[in-house]
Amino acid sequence: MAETKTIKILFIEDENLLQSLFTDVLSLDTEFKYEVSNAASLESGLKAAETNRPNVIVLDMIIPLDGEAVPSPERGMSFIEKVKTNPSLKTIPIVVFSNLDDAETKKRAFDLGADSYLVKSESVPQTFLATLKKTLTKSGF
Amino acid sequence: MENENDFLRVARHNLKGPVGLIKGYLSFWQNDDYQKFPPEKQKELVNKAIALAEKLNDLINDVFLTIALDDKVFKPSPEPIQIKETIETIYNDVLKPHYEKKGLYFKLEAKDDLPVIQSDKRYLTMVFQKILDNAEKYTDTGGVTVSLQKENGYAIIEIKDTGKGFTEEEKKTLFAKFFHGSLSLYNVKGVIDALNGQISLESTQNQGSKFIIKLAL
Repeated sequence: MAETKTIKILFIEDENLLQSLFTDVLSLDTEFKYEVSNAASLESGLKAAETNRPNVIVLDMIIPLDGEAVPSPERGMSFIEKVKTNPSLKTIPIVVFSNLDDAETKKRAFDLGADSYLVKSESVPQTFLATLKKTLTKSGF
Repeated sequence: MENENDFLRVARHNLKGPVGLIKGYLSFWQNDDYQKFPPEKQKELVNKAIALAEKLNDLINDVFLTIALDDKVFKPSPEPIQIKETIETIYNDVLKPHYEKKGLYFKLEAKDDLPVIQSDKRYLTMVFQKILDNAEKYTDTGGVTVSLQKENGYAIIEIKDTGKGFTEEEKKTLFAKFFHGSLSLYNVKGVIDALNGQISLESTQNQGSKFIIKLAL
């Protein structure tokens, strides 16, 4: 029997409960094994991407900075751009997982190179898992 | 935050977070995936969904309270309130398990016997609970001391923790909307102002914080 493939996922997400839900969902999948690493800020996420070389990045577009009154998706956009213009990182697919559901944000994320976009409140774990796998297949995993 | 669109955008974003998670946990039951988890894990998943529903309830209350305060339609309903008993009840009924889980102490010191005052019991309870809840959240060792005293016709309630404290930068925006993504402290100040009281903070980073509330006797 062939060995089960391991997928390395980098979750950039500051909500602990969401990270724990992800882990529960992934534990149900029988097709692949998952090795999950977490980053709670975009800066640490970028470092982790460079060091860990994940197979896929799941990105929350809005991670507020300490004391920031109005969190903005701009830093999330800039993260996508940085990954997708970096020759050694650009092949890593990015699944955006965000509460932002407006067409303009989605379009900008895709224009910058995001591979998939899921709206948190509209996606149950099974949709998340299916999208994750589809994105990996598309990227040639 | 002066811009109404910013308020709506952030409030909407905050409210949607728990909704997505609750749906996520419930979906395990919708498609029978829950059976794949051991019984104790199933219980943990249900408890998480319930905790999220409670969090969502608090967030909704916060948004509506902020709107009521901003529109100046918040009207306190005064009734007799015993501050010491109220704080004891909040601790015993709500916060005790959280404090004990982290091994934090909770001390309530009455330097003076505070008389019964006329104030809005429901909202004062909310204020004390939010501050005590925050104190627990940002304290990893030590604990929280609440001291009560009388001074020049005021009840002084000091809530002192041994937590991480606030930076100078944070102190500037502490009572602003969505400080650390939350409306809690904005509402705390709004309610105390509406009750003709005063609230202030003394804090040094890594040396804990002390919230001081003054209410007329």
